[in-house]
Amino acid sequence: MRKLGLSIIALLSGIASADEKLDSITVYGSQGDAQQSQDAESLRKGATNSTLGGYLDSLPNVDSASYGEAVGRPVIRGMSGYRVKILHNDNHLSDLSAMSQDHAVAVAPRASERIQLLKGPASLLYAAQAGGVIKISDALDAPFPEPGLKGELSGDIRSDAESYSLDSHISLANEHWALQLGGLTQESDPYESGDGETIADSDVNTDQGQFSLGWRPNSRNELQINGTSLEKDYGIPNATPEATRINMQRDDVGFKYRYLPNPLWLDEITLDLLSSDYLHDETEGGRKDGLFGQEQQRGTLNLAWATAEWWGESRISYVNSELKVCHEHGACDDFEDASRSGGPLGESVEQYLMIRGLPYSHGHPMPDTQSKIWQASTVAQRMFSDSYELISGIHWQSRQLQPDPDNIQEQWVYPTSLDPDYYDERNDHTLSLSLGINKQAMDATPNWEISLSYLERLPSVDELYWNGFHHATDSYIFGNSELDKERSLNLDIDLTFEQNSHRMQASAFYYRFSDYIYQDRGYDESGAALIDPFHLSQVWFTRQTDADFVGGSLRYENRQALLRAEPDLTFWGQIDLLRATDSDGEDLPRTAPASAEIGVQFEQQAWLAKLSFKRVAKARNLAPQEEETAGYNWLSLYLQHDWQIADQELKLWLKGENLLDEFAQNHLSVLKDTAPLPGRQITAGIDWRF
Amino acid sequence: MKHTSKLFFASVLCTQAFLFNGCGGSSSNNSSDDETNLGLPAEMQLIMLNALTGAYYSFDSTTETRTDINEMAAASQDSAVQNLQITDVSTIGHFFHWPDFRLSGTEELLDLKYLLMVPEYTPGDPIDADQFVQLTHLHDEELAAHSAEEFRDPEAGSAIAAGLERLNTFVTKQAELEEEIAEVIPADQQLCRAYIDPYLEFELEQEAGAEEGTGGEEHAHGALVHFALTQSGRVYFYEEHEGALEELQGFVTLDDVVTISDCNRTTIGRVSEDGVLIFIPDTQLLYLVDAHGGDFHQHSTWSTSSLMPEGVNADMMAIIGSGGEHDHDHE
Repeated sequence: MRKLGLSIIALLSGIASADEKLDSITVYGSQGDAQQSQDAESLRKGATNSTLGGYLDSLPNVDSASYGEAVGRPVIRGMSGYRVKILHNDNHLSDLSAMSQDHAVAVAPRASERIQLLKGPASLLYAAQAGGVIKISDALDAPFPEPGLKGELSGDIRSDAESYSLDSHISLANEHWALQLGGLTQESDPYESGDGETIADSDVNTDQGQFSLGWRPNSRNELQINGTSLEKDYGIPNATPEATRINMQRDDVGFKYRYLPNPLWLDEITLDLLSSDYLHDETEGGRKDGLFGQEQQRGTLNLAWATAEWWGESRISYVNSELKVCHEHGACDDFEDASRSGGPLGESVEQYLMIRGLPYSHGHPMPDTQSKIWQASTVAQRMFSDSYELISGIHWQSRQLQPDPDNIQEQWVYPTSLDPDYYDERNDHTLSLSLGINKQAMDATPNWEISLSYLERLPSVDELYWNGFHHATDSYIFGNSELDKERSLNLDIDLTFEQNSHRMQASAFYYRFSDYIYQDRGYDESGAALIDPFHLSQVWFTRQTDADFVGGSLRYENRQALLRAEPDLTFWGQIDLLRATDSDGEDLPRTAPASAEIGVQFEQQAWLAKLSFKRVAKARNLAPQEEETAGYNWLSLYLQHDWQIADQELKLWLKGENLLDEFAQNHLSVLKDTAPLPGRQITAGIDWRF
Repeated sequence: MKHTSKLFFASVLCTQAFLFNGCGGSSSNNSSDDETNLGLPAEMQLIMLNALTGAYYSFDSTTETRTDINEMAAASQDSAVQNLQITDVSTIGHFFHWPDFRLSGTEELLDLKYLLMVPEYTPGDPIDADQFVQLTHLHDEELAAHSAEEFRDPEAGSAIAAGLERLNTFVTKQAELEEEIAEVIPADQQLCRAYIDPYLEFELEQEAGAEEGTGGEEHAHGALVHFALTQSGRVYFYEEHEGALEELQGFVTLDDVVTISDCNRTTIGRVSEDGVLIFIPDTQLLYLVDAHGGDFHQHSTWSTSSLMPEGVNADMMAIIGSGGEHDHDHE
């Protein structure tokens, strides 16, 4: 396979020499190369915290939708939630982080080895999402590590607020067998904001265990059994008088078979089977008020192929998924069916519609829902001159939804008088297409890449069926069973110019949505904000509108040789811009404000030093009724020293974030008022590889 | 899956801990799985009785501890505690709640009490020593009871006679309340229980007295809500306006209720100014119906299986205790 993209981290770090290691975060213009193992260290260097969003938010047009220090889902080019697909070792991550802002991404970036951002045609192999695909790979992604006993141990500690993390991975392998074990534990106390206030309920504990057993009977066959168990327990720093907490667990067991066949046109066949069990509870004052569970069984067949002119990958997958939600004060220890007295269904919902004009519910907010999803996709590419390449992607999805309201108390079932088809089985299909052209010549710039995609997304189960209160976000949400599929036309343009010590990268995008699905705050006819009758919380409606997202980034680098013949000093500057508006020209809520960053990095032999200063502008493009968020400055420093002793490697590092100790709020965070960003934090760490 | 995954998880973390410290150094996990917080409103005593066996338990909602009342009574040397013991199941009828408010000088005295009535008692009839078995209340925080015999032929002007008089005044008032509410509930509903917050009612009466110059202090509080539980498991809410009851909001349907078979053994008890606990023997559920500034709704339910020993049903429940503080300062 051919890697066609640009290494963004190479741009960030200013390291462009060909003999150096590839970096960790890569944006591909086409298919990512699953065989390439990349250094994971730079992930941590720029991470503002341990969340996936924290790991990625220094990238151009990437932000983190934070919800305290435990939650940070990446927002890519303004695309959030379901519009960004997250993969873990090539499998769709079975969590519910896209459903709600308080749900953490069920992955530990600290334990990962690579994170790739895919957009355009390449992303369609896995999913058709306007924000693209984030592909997280850890050690288990490669069933056969280097022969012998190998290991990595790393740890770090932070004061104020106290935190530590320990991460280990060992592998024992020979030509035919490979055993890998990994473990991670992270713990952090409630942090302090820039004004010295300790943020209550902002503590996080994460534990992860992994195993993999690989067998390679011959050079053409590889089998692997693997498992990952992740548990995350974290506080929600909201305004409720009693502590709100979430305890989340994801257990995956997978089987992977890789076959390298004889025919020249078929490079590789991969069969991936995965069983995933996700569960999280939400407690308030220790009582389980919410329980969210999703069990998935997934099978994927992936073919890598090449003909005389074309090459690419084709993929077919089937997913069976069962989603269950319990939401009842103190009564969500388990999922249960509600009893039926034989009385009318939905009596109380009808009553609320009659009295208040809206079908409020105080029962379980969603029916149990089974989803059966078939997906087929292909990404194909070919060169049509020495420098120009054509890439195309197609993604088809068929989904059958079977909602079952047996879990909902009879008085809160959505009544047939309002919608007789509400709980009927639904069958939907999507077809997405993408075409890209790029020029990638090593000896002549500028290089460029352009792609145009037509993407279709089906509304999620919660966007369709949720009707009720959500404790952790303290909001009442009306889903919308009438939602149509969301469609978007996405234009992405990337341009890279390099000459002597100068390097410039410009990216621009324009996404035009039809039937963009979003949550809209509810107001009555007099303009007063609606509040739900049970908890007096904000009311949000799931609606559709046409929407435009336009933005881009500009990055300039200058590399100089200070102490060596080769460049060892890099200066850079970067600007990110985004505008998101609906069909009325109104700004959409929580749009990332403009930001600018300058930095310098010095790297010489065993030393690495990096200093960056970021200015996030005041959020000016506000949705109606949305509050402003002040701008802030963010100063970061990273120092590292390496030792190489025989075949062992030792690194000591020191990292400082928000060194100016500024009070800062994330405009993308629903909890920006109760959970501002952390104040000054200094972390020291050690990595030992043997 | 859960248990196997935990074993798997522990074994892998143990590997990690071994790499750092040797096995046994794994960090602990503070998952809340083992917590047993029922989340019942605090400061309540729930007294549950099985009419067939005489099994008699109290459950302290603050400490979440259960006491076998019969055992406690048998072991006690205090006659007031001994009086609690159920000695003859044929005398078990139903509980009757009596919020005994009285003034001692200018001091407000409150005692939430209940009586264990004999099966022959008809609600609304005057009560004397033949109509009940024991009258129970809290002595400080401990349950204690008077036997019915203590109320037989009371001496005129005695405290016992005065107590019986207050009790019968309440019986009459409760009967009037039920009659008043029965008239306003929908025609297709049968009234099962009617309830008003006795604390709030008492305070409103005191304030009314103050306006007429008889003293007392006015406090901020909500309106006096009239709760009506119907046999179909609906709760209606009324408020008095210019002498008439007006419906406050829509009704609340309690989970799992088909029909309430024995209204005498169905209980509505005070939690706070904002809500009530309702016990329905048919469902063996305790319902919290409250409002936090918004509409009344079924907030939570608890099964009696979490309050009673395994396999023991509660045929009736008394709910006493101060519940949510009667806050004179709240906005």
